[in-house]
Amino acid sequence: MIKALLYKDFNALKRYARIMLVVAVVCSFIFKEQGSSLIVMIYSASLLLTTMAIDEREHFLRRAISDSGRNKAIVGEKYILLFILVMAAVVISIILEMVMAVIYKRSIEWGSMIIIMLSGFALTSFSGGTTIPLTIKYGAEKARIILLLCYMVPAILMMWLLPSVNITLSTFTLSIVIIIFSMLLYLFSFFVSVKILEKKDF
Amino acid sequence: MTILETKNLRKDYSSFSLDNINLTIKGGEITALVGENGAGKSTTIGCISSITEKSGGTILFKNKDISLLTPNERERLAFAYDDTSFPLDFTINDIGKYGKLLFSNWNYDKWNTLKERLSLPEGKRLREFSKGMKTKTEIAYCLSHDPDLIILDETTASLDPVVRDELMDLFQEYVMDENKAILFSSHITSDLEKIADRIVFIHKGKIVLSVDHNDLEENWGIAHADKSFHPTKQEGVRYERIRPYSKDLLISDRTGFKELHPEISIDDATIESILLMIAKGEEE
Repeated sequence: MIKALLYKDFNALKRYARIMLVVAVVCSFIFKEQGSSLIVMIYSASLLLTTMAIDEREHFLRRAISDSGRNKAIVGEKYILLFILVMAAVVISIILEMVMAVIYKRSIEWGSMIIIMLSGFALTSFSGGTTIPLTIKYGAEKARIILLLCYMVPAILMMWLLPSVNITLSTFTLSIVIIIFSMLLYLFSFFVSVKILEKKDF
Repeated sequence: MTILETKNLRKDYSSFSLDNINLTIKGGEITALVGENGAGKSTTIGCISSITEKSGGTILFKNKDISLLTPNERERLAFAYDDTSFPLDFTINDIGKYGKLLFSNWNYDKWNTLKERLSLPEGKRLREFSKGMKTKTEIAYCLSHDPDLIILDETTASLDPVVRDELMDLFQEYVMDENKAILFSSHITSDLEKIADRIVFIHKGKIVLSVDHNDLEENWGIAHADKSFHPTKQEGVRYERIRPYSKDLLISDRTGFKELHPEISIDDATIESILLMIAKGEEE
């Protein structure tokens, strides 16, 4: 079932993916010093919301539930899709960074790049983990506003909290913390989404 | 052979309740679920398809609780709606691939045959399809995984008579197999007159009448009596509707009634006339 749903979503995202590639290339040149990884990751994760908006417009959830009655698979596919999208963004970012390094004859700063990608991973996990249940509950239109808040709240919290916290973490420790945090958030969000879908009337 | 059975199915909303729906769908039959808008047809179908969470009761598919069906068993059920639910960028071939990935018993030969028979264009995207084309796609998709029960929720409501006629033929062919059945919800009663074997009338969330179509055609009638006429319980009057100058009576035994009241004229009871009697009349 998940294979069929992924096929449907990737098919629906084909033209958006092309735009994503163009955005990624353009951003790489505009932000040649800072890098475009974060933008690419955020854009990529936002494609998840596009698939959910399409599902809502076409009443696809009604079709998927009627065909299978498997709410867990239907919800789970969205998390798998988000993960694939974020991973695709990571790969694209690395390739672009390598290309930029060749073009501008500079060395790749892997350390800072890993930090940026981990931040992107944490941010997209947070936004995705929050957006999926809220979109199922309230629909894609309201979820766009929620998505904005989802990016703003952690950013403001981090800006507010970080200066007062005196913790130094190695890149390795930070990676572990972010991955564990993201996995826990995914799991929690997944079960909440399944519950919401079970209670939802179409 | 019973394909689907609902026992005391309930769904409670703040302003509407589905009240103990007991429905039996048998193999080789087309059962029509008839009622005015808001009567509870879609809620009943929603509970069966799991898109609506039921408040109580049991739904059995081939004697097994529908919520306990394995994915393979669940594939034996199909639901068709009034529009296709696939992304508008999908082509017919994309739907075929999706079906193949989703259903273990997806039948590509059948899908191709139906595509041809229903003249579904391969190259076009769904956004270029007419409403009729989309509905035909929905029906072809449902038939191609070879289900034992197809549930149609107002699927043909917005189609022109030519497309509807084409689909009615398809449905009749499908139930020639005694192990297959159709539950058909519609308020286009002319379609149901053509193909339904059993008519179930639903009103305000309750099943108020369930009648075999042959019985309905042979024995039921609408009697047009004087306003002062008061039938007794033994006369088989099921519903009574007061008109400006007369009283219409829905009777289940027109021969018996004619013998008792030869002076009263009786018309054939059609599904539409019964629907009106139920919606606008009073139960006796």
